Amino acid sequence: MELSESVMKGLQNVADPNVFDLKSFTIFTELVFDSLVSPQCESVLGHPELKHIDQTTLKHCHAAATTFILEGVKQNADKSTISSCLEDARFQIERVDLLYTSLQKNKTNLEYLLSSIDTCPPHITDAAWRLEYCIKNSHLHKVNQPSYLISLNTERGGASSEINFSCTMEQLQDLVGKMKDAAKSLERASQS
Amino acid sequence: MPLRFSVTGGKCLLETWEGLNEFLREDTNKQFSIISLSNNCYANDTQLYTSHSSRMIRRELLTSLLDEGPPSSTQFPAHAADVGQLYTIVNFPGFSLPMHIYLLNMIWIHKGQARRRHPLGIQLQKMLLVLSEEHKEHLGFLSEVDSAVVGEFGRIAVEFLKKGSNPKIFEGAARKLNVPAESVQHGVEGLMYLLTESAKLMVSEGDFQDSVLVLGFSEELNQLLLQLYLENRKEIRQILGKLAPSLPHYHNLEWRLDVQVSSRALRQQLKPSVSLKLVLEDGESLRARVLQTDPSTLQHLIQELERALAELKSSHCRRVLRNIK
Repeated sequence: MELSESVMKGLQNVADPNVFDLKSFTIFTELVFDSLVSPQCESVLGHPELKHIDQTTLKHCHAAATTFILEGVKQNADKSTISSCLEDARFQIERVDLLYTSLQKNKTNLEYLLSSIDTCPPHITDAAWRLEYCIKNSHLHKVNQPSYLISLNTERGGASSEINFSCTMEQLQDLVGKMKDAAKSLERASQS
Repeated sequence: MPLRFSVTGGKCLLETWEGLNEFLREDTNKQFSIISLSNNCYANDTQLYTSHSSRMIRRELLTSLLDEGPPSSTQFPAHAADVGQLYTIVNFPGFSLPMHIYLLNMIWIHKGQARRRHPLGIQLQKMLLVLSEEHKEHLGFLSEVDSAVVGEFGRIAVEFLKKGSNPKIFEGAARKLNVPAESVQHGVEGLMYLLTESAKLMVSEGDFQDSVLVLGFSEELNQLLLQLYLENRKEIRQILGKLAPSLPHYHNLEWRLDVQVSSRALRQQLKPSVSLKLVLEDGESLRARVLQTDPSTLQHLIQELERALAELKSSHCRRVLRNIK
C-alpha cells in the first residue's frame, strides 16, 4: 500500500504517545470512523477530550488517518498489509489492533460508500404509465386508438429527471418482452 | 318555415308537401337516390336518406299518406307499432317533425350524435361536409373541363398531399387548357381540401356523394370524385395522423448485462447491472438514450409494465373501447 509522505507523517503523529495517549487515541479512532460513515457526527476539531492536542496537528492527523483507512478499504488490504504499514509508522501493537478492529467493524459501510462514488449513465428508478384512448384530434376525427404514456424516473448523481414517451400496445409488449429477456439471462448468468 | 325536400335522382327541389305530392304522382316509376329533408338553418346538420331496398316501402307509405291519409296497420303490418302513433310529434333539433314525415323516413331521432341502424336500414348521419361558397366556386372550375382532366387534377391533388405542392405544375396545365393559372390552382387546392376534410371526418360513401351533390356536377364527375376519395382515404388519414401533437414514440430497446469489477474509488467489486439503450422516435428523427438499472429495479419495471398491459384487457377498458366508435 503506497502512502504519501504527508500521510505517513500524520500517521506517525497518531502513533506518538506524546501526542495521543491511549485514551485520546481510542476516542480519535472512533471519531475518524464516525466522520466517514455517519452523515452527521461530532467534529474532531474542538472535541472536548482532544482539546489538549494542537489543533493543526489534530487536523493533519485526521486527514492522514482517513486517507489511510480509505486506501485500506479500496485495496481490500489484509491484516498483514495494514499491520506492516502501521508498524512503518511506528504504531504500537496495541494501537494497530485497535485500529484494525474498528476497520473490520466499519468495512462494509465504507465499501458501500466508496462504491457509490461512481459515474454511470442515468439510473432508472421507477416507471409510471398511463393508458389513454384517443377519440379524435384537430387533424383527424374518429381516431379510436388506445395508447400508453410511459414515464421513466432516472437518477444521476442525486439529480433526478424523467423520460417520457408514448407507445402502442404492441410496442409496449415488445419493450416488456425485451426486458424479460434481459432478466432471464441475468438469472441464468447468476446460476451458472 | 317551409320544409324542403330535395330529391336527387330527379334533381329537383320541392318546397312544400304539396309539391312533393305532385312530384310523386307524376314520377311514380322513378327511383330516388335520396329523399332528404333539409331545413334552411340546419342544412348541414342532419340528413336522412333511405337505402335502396327500403325505398319502395317508403314510396308506398308516402303516396298512401298523401292520397288517403295515414296508412293503417293492416296495410303495413311490419310497422304497425309506428302507424299507431301517427300523430306524435317527433322533435328535430330546431323544429318539430310531424309523425308521418318520421314514418316517411323511419328514423329514430336522438339528441345525441349516435348513429342508429333502423330495421329498414336508414341511418341518421351527422357527417355532411360543409363547403363554403368560395370552396364551391373553386371546385366549380372542375365542371368546365372534361373528366380526363379532372382525373388528372385528382391525381395531382393526391400527389401534393403526399409529397407537398409544386406550383409549376399549375402553370403547365393552365397553358394547355388555356385558362388562368389561378383557376387551375384553385381547382386543385379545392380538391385537396375536399379530400382532406372528407378523410378527416371519415365520411361514408353516401355522405360524400351527398356533399358533392351540392356542387351540381354531372353523375360521371361525382363518381370520379367518389372513387378518388375511396381509393386514397386510408393514406390521407395516415398523413393527417402524423400532424397531430405527440410525444416521442418508442422505437426499440437494446440491453446488455454488465458486471462492474472495479472503479477508481473501490477495487474488487462485483456489481451486476443492466445497461439499456432506449431508442425513441420523435417526428422523423431517432434518438438513443443510454440508461442503466439494477436487477431488482428491472424486475419491478417488468411487473409495473405488465400491469399496464393487463389493464387494456380489463372489462372496464374493453367496454369503453367497444362503445366509443
